[in-house]
Amino acid sequence: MSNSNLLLDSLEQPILTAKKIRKKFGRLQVLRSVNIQIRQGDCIVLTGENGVGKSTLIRILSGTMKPDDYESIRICGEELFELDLSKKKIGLVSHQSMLYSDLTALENLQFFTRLYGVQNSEEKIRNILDRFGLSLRKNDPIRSYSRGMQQRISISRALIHDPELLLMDEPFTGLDEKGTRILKEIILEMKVLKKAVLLTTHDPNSMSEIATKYLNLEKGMVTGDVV
Amino acid sequence: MRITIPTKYFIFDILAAILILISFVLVMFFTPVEMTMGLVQKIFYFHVAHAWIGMLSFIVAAAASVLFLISNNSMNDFIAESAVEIGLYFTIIAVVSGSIWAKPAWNTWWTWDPRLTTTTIMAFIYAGYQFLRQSLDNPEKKSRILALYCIIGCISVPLTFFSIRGYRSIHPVLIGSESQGMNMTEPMIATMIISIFSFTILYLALMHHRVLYAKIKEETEAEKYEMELEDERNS
Amino acid sequence: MKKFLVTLIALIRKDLTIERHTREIFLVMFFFAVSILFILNFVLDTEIKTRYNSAAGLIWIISVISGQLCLNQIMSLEKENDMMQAFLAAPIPLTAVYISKTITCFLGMYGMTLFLFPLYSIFYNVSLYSANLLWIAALGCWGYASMGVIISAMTIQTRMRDILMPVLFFPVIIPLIVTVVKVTQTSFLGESLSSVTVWISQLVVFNIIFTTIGIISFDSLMKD
Repeated sequence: MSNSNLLLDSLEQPILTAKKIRKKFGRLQVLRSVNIQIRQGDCIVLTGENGVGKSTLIRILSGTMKPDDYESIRICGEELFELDLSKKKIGLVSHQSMLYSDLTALENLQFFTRLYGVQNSEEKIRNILDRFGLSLRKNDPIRSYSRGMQQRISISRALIHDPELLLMDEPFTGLDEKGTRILKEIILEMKVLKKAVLLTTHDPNSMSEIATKYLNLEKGMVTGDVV
Repeated sequence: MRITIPTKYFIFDILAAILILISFVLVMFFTPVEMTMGLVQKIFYFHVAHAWIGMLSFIVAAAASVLFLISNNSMNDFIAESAVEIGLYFTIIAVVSGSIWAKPAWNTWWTWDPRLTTTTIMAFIYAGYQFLRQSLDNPEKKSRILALYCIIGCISVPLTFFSIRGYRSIHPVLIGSESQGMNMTEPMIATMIISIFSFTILYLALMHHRVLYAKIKEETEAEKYEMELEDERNS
Repeated sequence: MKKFLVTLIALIRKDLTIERHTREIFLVMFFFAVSILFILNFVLDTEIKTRYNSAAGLIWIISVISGQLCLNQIMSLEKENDMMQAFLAAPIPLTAVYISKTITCFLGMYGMTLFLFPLYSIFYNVSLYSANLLWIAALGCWGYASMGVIISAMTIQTRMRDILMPVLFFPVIIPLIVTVVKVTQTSFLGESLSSVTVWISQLVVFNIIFTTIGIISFDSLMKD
């Protein structure tokens, strides 16, 4: 087992490499100089106190917020802020559900498959809805869903275009036991498929069986070790 | 925090005060009384000066906004903020003084003349800008949104002027057309130029103070924000 | 280019689907317009000539005021649940979002304005039919929508939101309204449009200017 792991290690390609990210809010320097590398098969858990800039870092890595200054942010070798298409390789789950509450679950997912130009979208939507146990209610508007179910749809939305890298900000909030189990299964699957996950959680210990690395964000810098 | 105002600011203040006093004296005693309009015509020297400052301020604000978008230097944002606020007051004074002048001159408080209308619409845009500034929270985006609105306003004002110029106007044309223009004697022209000059100096003096104020306000707000954040962390 | 169009169609289709589910935007806007049309009856002079001469101005004022509801609603859709962030994270240009919003708003405005002409004719017993109105109204509505989406993108980020919209929007839209009213009036009076070619070209120029401003500035309005 350990031998094969060692072998895999040498073959793993970096999915995301970010160097020297700096971000200021007003006069507050949130991120001083953040360097981060995510490799194939990684499941990185980002920890840190409230307000330390975890969400900001995730927003920057997902391309939704521009840092003040950075040396490079590369996704599979492509500069994130230079090429729109590189965003196709990223799935994002944030605090907000990023779903239209007046549309049904199915319509929401269809809309996102069109935005990302996904092939055989119908089949993929069916699979993912089945997986999260939402097929029965796929024609109900999101407005009528409970918090946990919205979170499930939100995660499905992030996965619909088969991203190489999944960025999740507190994905377990609102999920029940079953939802948590499904998400952990998905993360394990992504690890096997040589994709990568970066997530933040308020309960890092619960991630011990699937995390490959814990990173700690403190005073605008990332420190961490391999588990 | 102790605030010290640089000495050079006072030079402008004093200069502006002296100049405005001079132009006031000139207007009152030096210029002749206009034949058809009488004494009330004397308001014209201040009316023109204020309208000029209003326009100048608008251009300054737009230029500062463009520079801000290019350089992202917050100093330009302070200048735009100050120019809009001061410009708003000057424009309001210009409109009101124009109205006071119009009553005896044309026997009407208000006329839908293109210049008057455009100036008033300019005041509306200034006012909208102020409301927008008050109600934006996100400090990062605030300046950018405001700069964009200022530029849009600046593009829209001349368009407004051109689109309504077709309507008949009774506003005196000062420059260009001789037949329509007010017959101005030399002392009148000289006084007008001095008056415009002194108000421009006043404008510069006001701008200096307002920009300084904007800067201090920004700094205190940032400090307050940091203190709040610190408190949050400690608790 | 093809990809841009696919994205654009997806965005517009999404807006229309939402409207089909909720009927919050167009229908409300339409009934608002009709109710103003009714109120006008009580303030307008009964003389046919007055009603005829002021038709162009009144119809456009109704459009401008009720179009605002559309703008507010269309943009706040994207504010809810932070959809703007989803767009930023997606591999699409923000220009597509801007154009899709403008098109949706244009469709609503245009439909309503075209409906207002015959309604005004029926209620006030004046004849206002002219094929030229089709493109005049289109130009007016497009200019309105292209600038409106920008201003509303600004106001949804403020605390005051909808209240601020008219204060910021109406002063900058005045040149467009003045021009479009002038052209519409000429068309109503049955005069040949060749007498207002200057105004028509002005209308076209305003449309181009407003749309250009929109395309250039939308990116930086939305990005963090």
